[in-house]
Amino acid sequence: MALYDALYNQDIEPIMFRHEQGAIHAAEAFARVSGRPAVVAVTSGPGATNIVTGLADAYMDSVPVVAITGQVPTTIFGRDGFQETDILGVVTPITKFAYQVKKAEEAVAAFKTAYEISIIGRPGPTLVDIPRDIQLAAAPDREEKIPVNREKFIPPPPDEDKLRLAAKYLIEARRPVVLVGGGVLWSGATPEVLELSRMLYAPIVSTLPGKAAVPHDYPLYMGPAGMHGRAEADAALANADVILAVGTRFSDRTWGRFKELQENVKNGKVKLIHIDADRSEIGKNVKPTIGVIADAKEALRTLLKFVDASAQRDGKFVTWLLEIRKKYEEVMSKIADSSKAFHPWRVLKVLRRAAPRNTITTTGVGSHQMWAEVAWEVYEPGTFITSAGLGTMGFGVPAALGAKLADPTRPVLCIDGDGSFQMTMNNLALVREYNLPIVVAVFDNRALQLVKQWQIYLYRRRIIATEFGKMPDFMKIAEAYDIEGIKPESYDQLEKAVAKALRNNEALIVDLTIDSEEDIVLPWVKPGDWLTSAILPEGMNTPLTYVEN
Amino acid sequence: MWRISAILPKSLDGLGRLVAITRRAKVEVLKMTVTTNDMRTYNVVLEIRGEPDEVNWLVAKLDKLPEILSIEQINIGP
Repeated sequence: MALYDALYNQDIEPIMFRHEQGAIHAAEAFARVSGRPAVVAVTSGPGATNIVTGLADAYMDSVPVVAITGQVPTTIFGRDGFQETDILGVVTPITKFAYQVKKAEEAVAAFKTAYEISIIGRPGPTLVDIPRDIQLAAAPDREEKIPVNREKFIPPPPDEDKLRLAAKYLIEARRPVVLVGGGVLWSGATPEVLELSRMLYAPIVSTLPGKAAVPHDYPLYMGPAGMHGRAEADAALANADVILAVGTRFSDRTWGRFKELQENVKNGKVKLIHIDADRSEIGKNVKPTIGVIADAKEALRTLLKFVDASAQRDGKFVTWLLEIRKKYEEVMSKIADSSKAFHPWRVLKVLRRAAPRNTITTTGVGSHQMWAEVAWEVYEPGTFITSAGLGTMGFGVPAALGAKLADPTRPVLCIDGDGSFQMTMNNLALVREYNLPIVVAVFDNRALQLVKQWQIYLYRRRIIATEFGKMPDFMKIAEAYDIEGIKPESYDQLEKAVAKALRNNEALIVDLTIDSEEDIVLPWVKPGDWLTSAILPEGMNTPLTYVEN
Repeated sequence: MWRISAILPKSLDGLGRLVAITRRAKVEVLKMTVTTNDMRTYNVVLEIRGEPDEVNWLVAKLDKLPEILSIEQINIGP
């Protein structure tokens, strides 16, 4: 309270979310849109523990967020005072920096340090815990320095010798592939990635966070690879002879498993070049042929100096990948045609037509998110915001609000599932209170569908704890928050309603009835499988192993 | 066997963060000592056994902590 009292009549507008989890997810999206950290200030005890999921989410997805938590007075530490929680102990493994202020002289310096560290090098969440007696203390004249080593977060200049060798490998490659991670977005290295891809005639594949870094209308972008990636992207990664991985942490969700890659790199069949700003990521899951610790943009600029030819390219490889894409689109179109209810794949195509190119899209977590990974087209870098690493249900609505706060001039569309939506829909109260008109499209399959999909495939259809019984009426929820609601009956009606709302900057909640039995997200690389084992939709029998003629 | 030597500000919060990372490493911690010489910093020495890749993982992760002012890793034999 003392902290907020100090803000009274100051030039700071607090945004009051209805739950702290909403506030921190909004802060994550705010940071991703604005490129600078947002601050979340919460009370001690439950206020602090309610942001833990968001901190973990930000840590996994490398998002700069600064949390300020209240704390009981230092005099009663450890005495189980009202709303006392050892929040520093709780957040230790999920923050880039956490500091408890124990003297008033440290308060300003601690906040400055937390803010700076959150954004320097690889971004991440930080937390400053301020006990009540420190908040009430008089502002001291001097600042006490917080002893930390900031310099270690600044990536070194790229190693030119390593990049010269990397260029040689890429030029000599038959099937080079560029794997783009979220680090490319933070580094602003999209132009360099595209230029390199053009020069090498190398397909680009991304991780889920990296999806936001590459315009999807770039012809050599194959989409995200992995568990629910695109088939052509899985095929590209699995059949590459040289992989340039930039700003990625080699998640199991991108690769399925590492065995094949590790063996192929070890025996020289695949040359793996890994560029990352974070030293601890190089070799963490797969030992690269060449590891370069550097900022992505700087490293790619240096690499571009050494790439001047692409004589060895197998042009048929790209043609083969594009055929896989074509086949998938044909098959999915037929499947969607045969569906009586809304089909998620087609819904996304329709929503994309309705949404202006610069629309910022957020998602919840679940089958709708995986459909969005496969089928949502990103045109402008940074306009797709999702919870990738932690997979936090409930992320979508507050993230959409945070995105709208960061840039009120752009349309914001939240692609959500009924499970995710119900976790944080209370934050819709902010739509009218702060004039944050967002459009929420709820993929309403009355289930925790992605888990249900696993139960169908991996647990012999033993469906338990994934189907909802009685559901709230989302139209009445919309009405309660003074937001227009629509339950469309056709794709045409859907497109018109969403296009109108986004164009006119109006809030809208769309309830899309989806048949749970038809909502099976494919391709799917089952956990622990290799990319070429992806289960493809019915009617698509294309092998994902390339045979060079 | 490896010896990891880290210097950090004299704070149990920082020390707790160091331990939190170490407990997730796939190594065996044989010995851990914490000493202070100048009253402003802790010198933490870990003697550990593990695969070189795992030891490197641990050192790289520890070095990500802003509180770790310096860190050294020495192979001290079998």
